[in-house]
Formats: sequence, C-alpha cells, structure tokens
Amino acid sequence: MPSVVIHNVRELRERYEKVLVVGEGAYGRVLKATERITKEIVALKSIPLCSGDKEGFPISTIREINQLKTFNHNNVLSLRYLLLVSDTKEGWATCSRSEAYLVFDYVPHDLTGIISDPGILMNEASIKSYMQQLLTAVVHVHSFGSMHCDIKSSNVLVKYDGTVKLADFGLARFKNPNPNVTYCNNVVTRWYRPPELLLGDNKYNEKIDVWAVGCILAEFMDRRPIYPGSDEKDMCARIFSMMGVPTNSTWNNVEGLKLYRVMTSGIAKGPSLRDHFASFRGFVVVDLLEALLQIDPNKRISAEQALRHPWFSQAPEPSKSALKLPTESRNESWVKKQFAEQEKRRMQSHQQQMLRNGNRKRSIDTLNASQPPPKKQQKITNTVRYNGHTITNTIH
Amino acid sequence: DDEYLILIKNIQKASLLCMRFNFPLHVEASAIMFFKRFFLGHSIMEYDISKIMLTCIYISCKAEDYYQDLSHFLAKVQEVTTAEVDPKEILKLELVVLQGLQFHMLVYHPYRSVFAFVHDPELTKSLRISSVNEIY
Repeated sequence: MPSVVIHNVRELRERYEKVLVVGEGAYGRVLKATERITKEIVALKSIPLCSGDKEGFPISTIREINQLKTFNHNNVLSLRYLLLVSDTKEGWATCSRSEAYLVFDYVPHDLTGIISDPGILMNEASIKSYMQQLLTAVVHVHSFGSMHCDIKSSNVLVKYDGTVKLADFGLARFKNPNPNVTYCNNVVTRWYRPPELLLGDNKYNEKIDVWAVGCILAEFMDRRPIYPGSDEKDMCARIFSMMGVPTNSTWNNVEGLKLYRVMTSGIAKGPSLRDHFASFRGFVVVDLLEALLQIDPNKRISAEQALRHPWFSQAPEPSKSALKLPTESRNESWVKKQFAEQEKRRMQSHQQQMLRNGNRKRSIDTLNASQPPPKKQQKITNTVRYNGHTITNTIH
Repeated sequence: DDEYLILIKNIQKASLLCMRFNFPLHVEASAIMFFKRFFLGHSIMEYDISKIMLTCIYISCKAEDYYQDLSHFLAKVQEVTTAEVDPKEILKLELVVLQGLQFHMLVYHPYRSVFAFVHDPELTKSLRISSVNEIY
C-alpha cells in the first residue's frame, strides 16, 4: 500500500473534486471526495497531526493501519492508501498543521440509516444476507486473533448492491497470547457493550463482538436498538431485567467482577427476550438471537458457530439484492439530519400551536384546528428514538 | 560494504539497548526490522543513524502494544547512554521513518506463536516445561 504525500491544500484540491464532509466523530472528520483522474469516489478519514502533540503519530492510528493491513476480506472495508498533507514547503514533518488521511472506498449506506429509514421495507432474505456477511467478516477478523471492539450499526456499511463492509478499526486490537494480559475496559459504544464490560471485566475476549452482532440482529427485528441505555447503570438495568441478574451459579465467577455489586442492585424483573420478541414466536431467528445475546461470554456462541446456525440454511435463502436500496445514501449523518429537521418542524408546529392557543381566547372556532394532526404525533415518537443516536455518537 | 557494516553495528547497539530496557523480544525484533526497512530506501548519510535507531524503537513500542510515554522512554535512554536527545527531534523523525517504512508496520515474527505454544495448557502437561522454556 503506497502512501501519497501532498504538500499543500491546493494540491489536494487538484487531486480530488466534490469534497464533502460526511461524518464527524471523536477521531476527526470523514470526507467524501471524487478522485479527479480515476473518477472513483473515496472516503477520507482525517487524522490531525499537530507538532505540539507530545506523543507524535497517534498510536490508535498505528493500530488501525496494522489491523487493516492484516485483513483481506470482501466484507471488511480495506484501506487503499495513506495521504499526507502539509501546507508548507519544508516537508510535512516540520509543519504544525499537517494532516494524514486514511483513504477508503466510499460506501454510501450504513445499517443505522437503512434500519431507521421508514421508506425501506425490510425482508427476511436481506436481513439474513446482511447478518451472514457481517458474521463472515467477524469470523475473518477473529481468525487473526483480533477483536474489532466497536461493532455497531453505524460501523457496518452497505454498498448499493447489498455488500456489507465492516468498517472503523480504530479500537480494534490483537489479542495477546498471554491469558493474564488485561485490556482497556472502556471500549465499544455503550448500546452495544456486553455485560462483561459493563461489570468491569478487563480480561474479555472476542465474544464482545458477538454480543454487538446480536444487538444489531435485534435492531433489525425491532427497527430500533434493543438496549438504548442512557448510562452504564441503565444499560445493566435494561439487560439484566430482560435476562435476569447473573449469579455465580449461572456465570462462573461473575460476582468477582469489579462493578458487580454496584451494577446489579435494584433491578426489577422485566419481560424476557422471548417475550420482547413475542411477534417472532416460533421463528428460528429468536433462537439465534438468544445464543448471541447470552450474558455469560463463556456460553455465548462464537461467530463461527453463529454462521452455522440453522437460520441461515432455512428458507428464504439469504439474498443480497432482495432489498432495493435508495440511490441517496442512508447513513448515520442522514439519520442525524432527519432528526434535526424533525426537531425543527416540531418546534415550528409547537410555535404555531402556541400562537393558536393565544388566539383561542378570542375565538373558540380555532380550538379544533389547534389539535395536532396524528401525522405529527408520529414524528414526535420518532424524534425520541433518534435522540439516542446523537447521544451515543458523542462517546467513543 | 562499509554502510552495511555500520548498520550491523547499530543493530547490535539497538538490541543491546532494548535488553537494557527489558523490552519484550517482539518489540526489539520489530524495532530492528523497522530499522532495516528504513535503510533499504535511505542512505545512512541522510539522517543521524542513532536517532533513527531510537525512533525505530519508539515506533516499535507503539506498534507492538508495549506503549511508553515519549518522555518516559527518553528518560530511560538517558539512564544508559550519554546522548542528549530532544523529544521534538524524535517526533520529527518519527514521521520520516513512518513514511520511509511506507507505513508497513506489520512484522511477522515467531515470538508470539512460540509464547502461545509454550503456554498452551495442553502442551505443558505433556512436555517438560523447562526444556521448552530453554528454546524460548
């Protein structure tokens, strides 16, 4: 993989056209651009490099590059090349405002967008295909002794033809062969964080990715995240009220975990997973979901086992093209934009209502008109749901 | 030729340095690999060779999940050598080296597999541990 050095922003403009910001996160920005010569659309993930930084080239980026180079799979988003930009002549190493970009293929959709677009009608064949591709990618990643550590619906990208691409290896790491090595506990976006992490375990393994895949499957079935907890405690409450509080007899040594006491106090029993998905009763998919969302990581199935689950061999067969995807991209930033627009519209209708309420004193006739039409009510419920998305995206 | 001899000499120095720091074997091995890779594309006349060496060790710490603070790392260097090293210089060289490596920072060496092999619970039962540890 070659790295390309560019000396100033002007050269960048010469190389690419139609540069647009498509996403922003804790790590930096993601740009979409068209390469002027080849006319290929690429995604540029920016990494700011400031010389004032004490630690030099960010270690997370080094990890990400190493991870991306290891994998070679159709369902894993591959790194094309690295782009280094500086705006002085002396070379980018001395420049204070240099930037590096990881250049990927541009993939228009992601699962967050597809799932929350009410205009897209899901069918089982396509969900099955997406899950199958996602699991093959996860198996590939795990086969190198690596963990992705940030699987969530917005990191699973989908091409127009329905090919799934697993992306964002910013938190991924290789497992150390030494079983006593501890890892950082604060990984995975909150809604997709498995119970062992929530309970403060720092000797976790690749099963954390399996849990996240399970959350995505549940999201497909429900069309909303299954555990949208507002904080760690709330996450635990939501998970354990559905699955029951684990004890030493159901999960070996769970009570020895650091946060066990704090997290398991005062949890009310809620509907079980099967009750939650009562409308799917009798379907094999619930069986798979239960295996993926097993709170004890030792009992949770591996990605490979999940792939051999009977659901995938049952009719309807997985089909990439069963779902007609829109030509406009449906991704996380689209969801955010929709949410912002709805919020605006809601505010407007609220203001109008206030005005009307003011008028009501003068005329009783306007009373009927002041009631919001049911359509807008619908939008308000949507708003609450999307709100969670914006919350999760701030933590990384 | 002479350039090659100088490189060999420096590799020995790097290895010695890593041993003094008690760095794991895979960090040392990667550092040496980076060093070799870098000088495939550069002449030893271009940069200060000992500083490149230190930078390689520093990058290797990052790439092999054995991270040290730069200041901490340099303090260690000060302990064993007399060389004065400016952290800014290392940072500057870091990008030069990374680019010289073309960001190829994956090194496949046997240490991880051997470690896993040695610590495989099934194996240790059947083999005498001491003999395996000797090989390792």
